[in-house]
Formats: sequence, C-alpha cells, structure tokens
Amino acid sequence: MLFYSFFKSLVGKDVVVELKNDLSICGTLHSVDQFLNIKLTDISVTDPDKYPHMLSVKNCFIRGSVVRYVQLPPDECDTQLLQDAARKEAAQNKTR
Amino acid sequence: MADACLEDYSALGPRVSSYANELLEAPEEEGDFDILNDETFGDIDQEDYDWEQQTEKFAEVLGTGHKHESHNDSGFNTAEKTYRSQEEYMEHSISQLMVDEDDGDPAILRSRPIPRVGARVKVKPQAILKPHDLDSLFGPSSPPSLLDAEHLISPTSKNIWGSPHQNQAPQPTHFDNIQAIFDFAKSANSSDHHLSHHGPHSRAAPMVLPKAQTLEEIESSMLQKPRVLTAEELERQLRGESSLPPSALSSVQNGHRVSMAQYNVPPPPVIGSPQSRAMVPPNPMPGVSPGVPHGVVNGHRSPVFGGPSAMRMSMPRGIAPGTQSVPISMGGSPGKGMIGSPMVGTPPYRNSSTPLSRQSPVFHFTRRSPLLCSPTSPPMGMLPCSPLPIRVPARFHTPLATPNNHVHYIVTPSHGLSQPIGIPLAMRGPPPVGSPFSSPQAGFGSPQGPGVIHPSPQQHRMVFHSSLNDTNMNRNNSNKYQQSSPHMKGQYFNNNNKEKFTGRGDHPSGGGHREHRYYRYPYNQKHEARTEHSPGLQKRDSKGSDPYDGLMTQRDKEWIIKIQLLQLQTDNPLVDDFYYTAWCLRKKAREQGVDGEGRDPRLVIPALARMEHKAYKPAQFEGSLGRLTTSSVHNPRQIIDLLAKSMSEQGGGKSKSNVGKELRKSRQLLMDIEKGYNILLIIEDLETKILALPEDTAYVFYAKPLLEERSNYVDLLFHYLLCDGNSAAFMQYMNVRKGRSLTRRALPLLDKVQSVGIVSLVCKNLQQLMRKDQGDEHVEELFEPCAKVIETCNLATVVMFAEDIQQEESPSTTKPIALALQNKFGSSILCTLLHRGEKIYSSTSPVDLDSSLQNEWCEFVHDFASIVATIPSDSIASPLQTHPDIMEHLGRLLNKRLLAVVEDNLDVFIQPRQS
Repeated sequence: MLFYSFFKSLVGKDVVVELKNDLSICGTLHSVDQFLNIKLTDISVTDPDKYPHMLSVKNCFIRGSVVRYVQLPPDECDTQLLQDAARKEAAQNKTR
Repeated sequence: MADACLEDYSALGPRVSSYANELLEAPEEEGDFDILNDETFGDIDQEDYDWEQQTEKFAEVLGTGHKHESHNDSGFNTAEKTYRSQEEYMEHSISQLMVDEDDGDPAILRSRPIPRVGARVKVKPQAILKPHDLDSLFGPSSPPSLLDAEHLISPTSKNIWGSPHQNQAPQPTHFDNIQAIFDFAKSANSSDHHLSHHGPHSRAAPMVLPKAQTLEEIESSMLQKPRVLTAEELERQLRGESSLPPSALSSVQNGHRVSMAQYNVPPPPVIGSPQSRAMVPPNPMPGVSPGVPHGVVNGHRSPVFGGPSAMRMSMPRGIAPGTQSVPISMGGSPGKGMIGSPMVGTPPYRNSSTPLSRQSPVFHFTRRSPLLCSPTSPPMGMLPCSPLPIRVPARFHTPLATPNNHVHYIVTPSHGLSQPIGIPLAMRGPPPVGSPFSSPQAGFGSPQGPGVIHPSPQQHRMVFHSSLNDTNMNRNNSNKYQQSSPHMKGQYFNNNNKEKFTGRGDHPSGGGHREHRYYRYPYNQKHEARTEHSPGLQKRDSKGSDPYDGLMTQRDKEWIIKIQLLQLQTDNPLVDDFYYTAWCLRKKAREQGVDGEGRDPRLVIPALARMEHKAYKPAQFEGSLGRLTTSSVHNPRQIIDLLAKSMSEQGGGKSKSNVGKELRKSRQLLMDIEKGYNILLIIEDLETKILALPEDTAYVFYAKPLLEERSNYVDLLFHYLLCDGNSAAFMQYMNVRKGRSLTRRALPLLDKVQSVGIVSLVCKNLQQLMRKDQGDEHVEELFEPCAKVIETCNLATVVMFAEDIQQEESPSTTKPIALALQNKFGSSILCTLLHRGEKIYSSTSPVDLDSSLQNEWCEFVHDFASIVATIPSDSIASPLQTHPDIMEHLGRLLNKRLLAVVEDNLDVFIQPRQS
C-alpha cells in the first residue's frame, strides 16, 4: 500500500500523468485508490494537437494499469519518508 | 493433457477418438449391450417393460387435449378449455401468438422457425409419438419444461444483474408476449373466460425459454388482483365520451387485433388532450399531468419484468392477442434487466411487445414507492431500463387521441432533475455536493450531447398509446404493429413518432418498418433524435440527458463505494499506511511549529498507533488430524510455505558470482547500511509507541519494556554500525551518502557516550569527510546533530574534539584547522566548538575548570586565531551557524594584538548568516 499511501498525500496537487499510450495528462489529483486508479480534475492534455478529443474533458478517471509515469512536484515528496516507507514495506513483506 | 481429458470424458460423450475406440472394441453380442444398458438405465424389468406401449400411453395422455387438432385447428376456440394448470393455459395462449401473417417480414423470416408443440397434424389416436415429438414434448424446449423454469434456475438465485435496490427507471425492455399473455391470463382468470380472441391463425407454438422464475412471477402475480379494464373503458376514457361502439372493441374475434388490452398498456398520455388526461395513472408523480387513465392496474406484477414495477392495465377480455408469430423469447436477454439490450434481429416480437414494454416510468415511479419496502430486488430482477424511452409505435395512436398528430409529452418531475425519472422518489436526492465525480452527469459531458433526450417523454408517449385502434386499423396495421417498434429502447425522439402519427392509418408498412427498425445504440440517437423538437422537449434537450443516467442509483453507488472503502480500512495505519500517516503527522508538526505554538509534538501523534499484530498464524486445533484451516479475506490460507531469505544469505551467495570484489564489497556495505536503517526504523517505531502511550500511572508500566527494548536496539545500532569507534569502519559508512544519513539520524538517538564517540570520530576524520563531500552537501546535514552533541559537552570533551581535529593527519602542509576552515562543514564545526568553549567559560567559574584543559583550549584558540589571520578571508567558508560570542571568547583568550589581526576575518564567524 506504499504508493497508495504516497499518492494520498499528493491529493490536491498538480501532477502530470503519462500513460502507456504516450498520452500525457496534466491535472489536479482528485483521488486515488488501492489499485492506483487516478482521478484528475481540470485536466489538460499537454499536447492538445495530438489528442484533440480530450479538449472538452474536464475530469477523468484513469485506470491504474495504464499509467506509465506520474510526474510530481518535487516539494511535495518527502524522500526520506518515502525511503523509510519503502524499507518498512520491504521489512513487512519479508516477515509475511 | 487434452488427451487425458478425452479419456476422462470418453464415457460421457462423443469424443471422437475415444468413441472410435469404443466402436472398434464394442462387443459384438447384444448381450453385452444389454448389460451396459442395465448399468446405465437401471434395473428395468425387461420382460414387462414395453417401451412402445409406454409411448403409446403417453401419446394418449397428451393427445386428449388435442383430438380436435387433426384439422390444423388448435381447437382453442372450439374446444372446451380445460386448463389443468396455469402453465398449460399459458402454453396454449402463447401458442396463439404464433400467428404468422407477415411471413414476408424479413425479420420474421430471419428468426428461427418455431417448432410446434403438440401439433397433432393428422394424429391418429393410436399414433406413436415420434422422437422429435418426444423431444418437443419432453426436451428442453418443450413448454412444460419451459414452464418449469424454476428448476432450471435456482429458486434462490436472484437476478445477478439486478440492482440491489429496485428503483430504476423503466427499462427499455421490449414488451414481450409473455407479459401480454400473463396479463391476459390474469384477466381471464378474473373475468369470464371468453378468450375467444385467438384467431384462426393462431398456432400452437412453443416458446423459447421464458424468463427466470417465471413460475414465481406467475404465482406472485396471481396473488394480486389486478383491476381489469376493458378496452372499451379505455377508449372511453381516452375519448371522454360514451362507450365506443362495440364493434370497435369487440374485435375479439379478430386475431389481428392488436389491442392494448393485450398489453395492458393504457393509452398514451397526451399532454393537453382531454383524452390523455384520462390516461394518467392513478398515482401520478408530482408534476405529471393527470392524464393517465385510472384503469391502470396497480401492482400488477409482470411475470416477465421486474415485478412490482409492472403496472399494466389488464387486458380486457375478448381482445385477441393476435400478434405476429413472435417467439415468446424475451428478446434474448432473459436474465438481464433489458438494460440496453439492443433490439437486434427480432423486431417482430418486439413490435408486439413494445407498447407494453415498459410501463411508463411514471408508473414505475409511482409503483416503486409503495413497493420499495421490499429490500430485495424483485426475483425476476428485470429491472426496467431507466434512461431509455419507450418508443411509441404508431400503432398505438388512437385516431381519437391524437387528432392533431402531435404527441405532447407529459412534463415529468424528472424533467428538471438530474437523475432520470426512473429513480424513485426515495432515492432521489442531489448527489453529494462538490465532488465532480458524485454523479455521472455532473462534470462529464454526455456523450450524446444535447441530442440526447430525456427518456421520460418517450416512455410516456409510448406507453399510453393504446391499441385502441379502430378495427380498420387493426387489420391493416397489424403489420406495422409488429414493426412498431422496439425502438422504445432508444432515446428516441418524438420526431419519429410523429412521423408515425401522421401516417397512422395509412402508413405504409414498409416505411414504418424501416423507421422503426431502430436499435438502441446510443450513438444512433444523436443522429436521429434531432429533427423535430416539440416545445416540451426543448428544455430536455439542453439538459443533455445521458442515456447512461440512472444505471445505478445513488444507493448502488454508495454500496459499491462502501465495498471499496472497506477494503482500504486498516487497524494500523502507521503500518499499513505508513507514508500518509507519517506525512500527515509531520505536516501538522510543521504547521504547529510555524505557528509558533510549540505544542508538545507528542500531541501530534495520533493515538492510533497500536501494537503491531503478530504475524498471522492460522488457527490450529488441538488433537486434530492435519491442519484445519480457517481463512477469510483478511487471512487467506497459507498455501505455500515461503521462507524469506535473509540478507546475509544473499550476501554470502554473491561471493560466488562473477561480481568484482569491489562491487561486492560496496554492495555489502550498502546492505549493511540498510540493516542499520531497519534498526533505526524499529527504534523510531518504538519511540512512537512510547510517546503514544497515555500519560498516566500506567505509563511507566508500559513504557518500561518499550524503553528497554529501545535502548537495546540503540545499542545494537551503535555497535553494529558505528563500530564502537572503529575509525576505519566508520569511515566506510560515512563515505556512502546513505551511511551519512544514517549516522545523522542515529546520532540523536544515541546516548551521551555513544554520541560523543561518534562526533569524535567525525572530528577525527574531518578532512576525509570534507574531501568526500566535494560534490555533495550532505555532510553538512551531519552538522546539526553534531552541533547538538557539542552543545552538551563539557570542556574536556570539547578539548578532545579540538584535538581530534588537529590530530588528523593532513596530507598537505596546511594545518587541519586551515583545511577545516575552508570547508563549510569544517568551519561550522570549529565555530560551534568555539561557541561552546565560550559558553563553558562564561558559565563556569575559572575555579572549576581544569587548568590543563584550559591551557589546551587556549592553545587551540590561538592556533585558530592565527590561522584565521593568515587565511585570506575569501577562502573562509561561512559556517552554518554563526555565533557572535566567539569574538568575546577570543577576546578573552587572546591578547589584544592578535585579536586585532583576527578581527576582520572573524566577521565570517560572527555575523549572522545572511541567507
């Protein structure tokens, strides 16, 4: 649940989600679930010329499995905490 | 593996290979066959059992009711109707539906030819039933077994497609003939039995599988006493005048009379027309014009559709359900709520069923409320399809009802609502505010755009066009009747209807046929639904109603969301949800720090931190043979015993690989650092737990073991990682950034002695540290904890530190101090040392200070000063923390002359940082 937890802390921030089909969507992270499905509000496609069909879309739901990258604002990420969380996760998985 | 399967199944069925083998090896003598038969069929008394006789008997039994059919007459009209059961009745009545008048209809031709049940064409009394007759009688498609649908489907199974909460708007399900038949049956039961409306063309026909739980529906519907409204009364109400001439209604003889009675559909509610007002259902929704006739049968449970919502007017007797030869199939989507089932391929039956199709959403709606009490969905689960309007076939326009060929729509309450009309009032509420995702419509453009019309008008429209057609129309229009359409489903625009309306009487069947061939594909609607807009619909257009509205009610959505959230609930957020929880805590602490409240950080820690659960061990029972498992979602059973490899094992394994020694070493180092981190995290967890303990008398009790544990771990950490002061090993760690961070974090945790040792090590290796840190600045992070440590030191320690610094061997001729000064970290350390010295000097009286220490310190300060004097001020790195009192200190210890020299350069140390 590490990344679910991580994304929860990013709710309300602006992110750019790059999908596996090369579509990049910029928007405000509205919510995330345990499958890392993402809901974005106020989205804009970074390259509208290439994907004009998204022009009218304001909010979207992105299935977690199609996401390639999520670009975050660097200030919002506490790397030390993230490392600790990763270590904890590793330790938990080891004991389970 | 496939072969194995084949072998396995050889006994069961005709697998080619095994079958071939069996043939080859089949016994030649019949005796063997008989033995096999016995095994298969049981011990039948072979001598007594004459299967031929048996079949003849069956034939007699079954043929009694059909003795008259030798003339291709079903005998329905002529024979006395002795229905042994409701099922039999239904069977008969359904069979009457198979009138194929319109054999030219391509749709009908396309559909499967319907086998005839019980067709006793030229049946001799003693005729032996042929195998295919047997099949038709006893096979899966035979009516009795059809009617025994309850055995096909578990009686307890609910319709999985049904919503847990029944309330949808009426489905766009086509009305199918079974419905008509049932209604008819009911009315027949309750009224006289002159069901002589089965025309001469009716043939017995078997039906396709009826809907699930048909019997249940039948029973439940039978329990209700529908109010019978004859077609006469309907028309009367429609027209608001005296009863029609009997001829108009009594077309019972006419098998083609597609009367609404058959469909139990009240005449369409035409807004504004006096007739339509009569058609309004008895409990109209608020806002619905009271045009629905009162004859609407309440609570008439459709055996086919989702029960309680079926409000139909009972079929007046004497009206022949003379529809086309339509298979009684429910449109091929028996189990589903007909939601969105496209009308593919079999319009004929759709046609006849359409008007009935769904009772108007109004009905649904009104029906819903009293019936909402039942928490379970109707057994049929045939949920009305909410958003889809029911197209009113032209057929159903009475010549009287629509004199001006305009159908006005009832303004429904849903008109202004964002939710489709199908949602019952109880459910109807605004979606949660604020979230763009709260309702499917909000925030999302409807794919249909403004072209999509709110379903309600259509539904109303269609429903109430009664088949109160003139007798004239009946005949001629029977064709169109069937073709009328199944398009109810789509969000169909009234324009099409209008066109139909215009051509009511004379509408060429071909044209109507084509038009009505409208399948419920939402994207079609966009194109079709645009042409004419009645004024009443204008508003609805602009609303941009969504064909997918109301697929789920708010309660459904909440239910789903609840399930999803339930999976995310955790007892131990600090473990399961570590990042988020810790992040929140830190954020709060930061905010509080910023606010300057300076609250105890302990308060920030939520009281949620519980003891971590032990690793789950499946319950084991004493004295049981084997391991009994109890598993649940949270504790799935252990299938495989996996042992996690320890890191040390991995480290050992690596030595055999081709990895270079250096690489191995570095990796091992990293692994060690990770171990150190793990220990660190454990310690931090323990601290959290300690802090989370309630502050009361029990605190000490609980805290003690935790504290002990903590100190143990701390020691472990120190010894393990920081090597007890072993400089070289320590430096190994310090060379790696991770190691430095670890040290940094560990330092505050260590006790005095340990931390002093660490700082000492740091000082001893200052140069090395500084060198390594050329690119990074991370070593500066080390400063803060070091400074803290120094702050607490006594003079001796400080002196020790100073000496450590000086004692480091410098490769070049420059003194360590000089080198230190050139590095930020170094200068910071020096600065801090001096500051501490000053503090000590100022706080303690000279008497207490050890003179030797003082001398050493003084020496150090002198050295420092001299170096500072000689070094150009540019090269002095400004320390991270400046202390103005250094000046004072220097003044104390140095003579004036030296001080003057140094003064300038000391600004770096003294002036507060301007960063």
